[in-house]
Amino acid sequence: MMPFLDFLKTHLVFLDGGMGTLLQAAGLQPGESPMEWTLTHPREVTEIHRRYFEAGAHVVSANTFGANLLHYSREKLAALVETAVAHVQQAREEAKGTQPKFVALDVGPTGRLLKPYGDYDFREAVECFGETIRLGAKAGADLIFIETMNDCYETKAALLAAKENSSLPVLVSNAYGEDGKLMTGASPAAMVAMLEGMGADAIGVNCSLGPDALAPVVEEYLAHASVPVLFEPNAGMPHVEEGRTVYDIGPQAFAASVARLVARGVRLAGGCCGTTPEYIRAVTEACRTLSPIPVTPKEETVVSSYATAVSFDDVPVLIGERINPTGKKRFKQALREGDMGYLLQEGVRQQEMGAHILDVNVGLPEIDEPSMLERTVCELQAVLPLPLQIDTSNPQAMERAMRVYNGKPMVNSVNGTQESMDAVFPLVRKYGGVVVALTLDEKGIPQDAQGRVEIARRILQEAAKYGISRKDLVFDTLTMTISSEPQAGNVTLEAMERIRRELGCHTSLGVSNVSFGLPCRDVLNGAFFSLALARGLSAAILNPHSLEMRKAFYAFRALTGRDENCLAYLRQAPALAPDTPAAPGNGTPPPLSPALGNAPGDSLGQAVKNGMKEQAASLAKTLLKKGAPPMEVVQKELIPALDEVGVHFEKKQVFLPQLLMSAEAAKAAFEAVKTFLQEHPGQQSSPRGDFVLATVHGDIHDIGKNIVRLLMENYGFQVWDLGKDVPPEEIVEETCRRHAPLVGLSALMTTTVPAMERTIQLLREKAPWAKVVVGGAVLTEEYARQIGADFYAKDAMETVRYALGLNP
Amino acid sequence: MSFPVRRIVLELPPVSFREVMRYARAGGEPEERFLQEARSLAEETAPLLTGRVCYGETEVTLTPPAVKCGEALSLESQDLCRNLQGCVRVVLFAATIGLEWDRRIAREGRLSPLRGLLLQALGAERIEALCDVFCQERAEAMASRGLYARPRFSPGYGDLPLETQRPLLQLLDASRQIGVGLNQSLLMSPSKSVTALQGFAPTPFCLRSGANSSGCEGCARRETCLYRR
Repeated sequence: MMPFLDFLKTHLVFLDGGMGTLLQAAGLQPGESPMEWTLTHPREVTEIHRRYFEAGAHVVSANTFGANLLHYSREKLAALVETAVAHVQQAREEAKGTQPKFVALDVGPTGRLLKPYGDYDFREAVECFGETIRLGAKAGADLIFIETMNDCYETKAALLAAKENSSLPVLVSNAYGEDGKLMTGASPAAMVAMLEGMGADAIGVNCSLGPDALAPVVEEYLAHASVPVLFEPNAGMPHVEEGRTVYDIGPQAFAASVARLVARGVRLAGGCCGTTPEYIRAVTEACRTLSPIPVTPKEETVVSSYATAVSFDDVPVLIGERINPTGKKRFKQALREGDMGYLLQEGVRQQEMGAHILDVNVGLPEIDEPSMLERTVCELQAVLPLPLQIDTSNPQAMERAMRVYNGKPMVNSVNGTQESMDAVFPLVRKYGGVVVALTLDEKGIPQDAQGRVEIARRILQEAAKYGISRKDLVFDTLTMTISSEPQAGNVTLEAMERIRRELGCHTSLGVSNVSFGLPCRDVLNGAFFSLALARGLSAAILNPHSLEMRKAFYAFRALTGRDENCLAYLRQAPALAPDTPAAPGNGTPPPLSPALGNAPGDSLGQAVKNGMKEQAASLAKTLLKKGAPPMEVVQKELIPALDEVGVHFEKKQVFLPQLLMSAEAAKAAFEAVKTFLQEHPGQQSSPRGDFVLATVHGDIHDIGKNIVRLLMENYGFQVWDLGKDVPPEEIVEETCRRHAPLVGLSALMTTTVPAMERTIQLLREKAPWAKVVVGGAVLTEEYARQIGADFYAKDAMETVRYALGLNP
Repeated sequence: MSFPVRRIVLELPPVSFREVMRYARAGGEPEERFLQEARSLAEETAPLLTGRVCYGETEVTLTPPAVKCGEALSLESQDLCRNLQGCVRVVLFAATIGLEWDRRIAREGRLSPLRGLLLQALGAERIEALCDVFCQERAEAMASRGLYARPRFSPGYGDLPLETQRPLLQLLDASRQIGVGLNQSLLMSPSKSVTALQGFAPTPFCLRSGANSSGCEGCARRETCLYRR
């Protein structure tokens, strides 16, 4: 028999239809597991498969939709998968019809949501899928059909498992909602980018809705995909007739709608919920006169996140460079302290300034870069929808980050040396990605444009060996400073332009290097950026806060017809005008808490009490500039103000939001102190003591925990915030590493208090010196005593008071 | 199938900032600046929000403490029995305002605990409002069949264990229908989601009977609760 992929190249492929409805018709009872029928009713299941083959299906899926280790023991799973695949093989033997017939291992979602929104670990999900796939391949399936996935990340886990555990062809199909997105937010373009990048053999859409309602999503697939597109809609929407579920689109209407999309380019067609062999027969008949539309490669350079896709086309792409420790003392400190909040803030600010992609570089000699990069990527993706550019020279760090990345990342970088290409290309082939290629090789950076273009050609050739096409390479022709080589700018631009024109590849530049060593760098950078844009630059790595860069970017777009009706320019114009004072606040501040007095915030303490963030920061800076010792600013201004607010809070004269406002204002002032200390290393502060803080295993509520962190930081404690859903071992490990005298544990749910108790027990055993303070909605003083805590804090202020008592 | 599931998307009513302030524990008379902040957050986040509900309806029979919802689900709970007293039909449902909200809370919570707190409170108000709209709609639909609605009842209320969420979500195919899942600690994801049962009886609902009272008055923790109205 012709291998499946060869058949797919030249034919329309028909898939099977729904299983549930047919099993029920055969006697499956409500509440009974369809999968169990594989073992208990082999004849009935085989019969359904046979009917699908006889209706004209080329591919019939085994009854393995929910067959995985989360639902079955290893032994039972093995029996299930083996038997289920054998049933389709048996049906193939029995079925009439001369069409080629293939057996698919069906892989559905696990039913658990992955972190950070659920509690299922990505690694575990890959392992879980891996077991089913190994068993399916062993049982002799011809291909793997991953379907009905409504989460981008879980889809990645399944596809990765398929690639790592078999060499079978893989079809991947997602379930979209009425809004044309996956349940977890991904757009069709984002899914196409990720799945193609990872090497899916066909991709598409199934379940959720009827054929017409899904048509717009399928059209998007057809527009972007360079691999065959599959389509398995429901038989419309279900309704109830005499106690039975009935779907509202009949076989003929269904087939006509599906055939319309086959005529548009769909290459694999079948049905999902509510469809039967009759529907599949109707589809094959409706498509009888249609010939397969050839699949054409779309030369689109696209990176994606779990939510959006960024395409390199007419409008240049801005890559924010700020998440990078190079030359930034405060950033380095944040990295060493694992202060993710600081990194996230850098990310959010760049998004607000219009960056399309964020470069992420956390390389620092004294930290474990692979772990840190992996963690940073996960944390950034938990809060930001922008695609990321994974920036590292450490292949191990690159792989770990690419593996956990949710989407198709940009990767920075590969270069023309054999060593670099040998390390990076296998990763791009496996995980997918758009890789920045630097035009340098073993001999260094060529002095002339010709040399750089030649390296680019060699890189393209080497990439092709891995099946990586030109669309997934973005060339950086390396900006050198004009202060040492007057022609540097010209050479870079010429090479860039030639690569774009002669090789048809996109380009990217780190623009600001051009002015290194010269004054007023922004002026040169902006002008260089304009020149590069005019000569066809596709993307730039830059500081999105730079006014000159922003001017160049928006002016370029408006002047070259890349900004319809100059809308983007008009929106930005107020911020681009020369000498615009910072936007004033919303007039006079609203009235303040009577309890805290209505004094204007002209002292730092008063600004904190009033919760005026910007004012607190600028007053702190002024005090420090005037020579006030940093610790005095903290001890004489910030702490007394916080104390006062705290007292009012405890007396219920001010409420939680006020407390937080003051705490945030104090934090802004502290940030100024921290920056000052970094710049004046002579005056190091000594933090009060280490405080390890976490929301316990199984619990994902962290608002309360974040409030405790904020207040504890305000009072000068060195807080090691491990986040939420933290296993006991991890908390104990950190406590021992820091020899922390105090640990704070938070839990909101009754169901997670046992995890808190386990953590305390383990702490007593491994870190007997540490005191444990607990808090959270379900706890009471008595409950806290029962689980062995040292102290129950009913709110964040009590935690602070307790900690100060231990460590005055 | 004996338990057909339907899925709908509902429009939400305007935000009740009074409720938001109660969830944020902003005190009896919240300051204008928090209200302002909450209003601007509500405006900013409105596009993130989709009110999705999946539900099914079946007959209900009570033999206290057993509650039998058609063939599909059998539960044991004295409190639920009291809530469903006299009911002949029950609507089981799961509702959510979606995952984007969690992403936003995660982001704001990291950068500004104040905004995190307000968003959390706003989300709580929104999902409650969604449930209210849905229950109201069901009540109106059932009224035409001569049936009167009871207040909705969720796992975790009274003696109905949180574990009940699992069979409920499974029965409603909630993961596939509206993207609601349950983790090992019985927390739902998206976090602003609700599962509940709403009973319907041939007689109107009487608050004075006590057994059926809803809201704070009927709650065992009414004396100590931080969020009491």
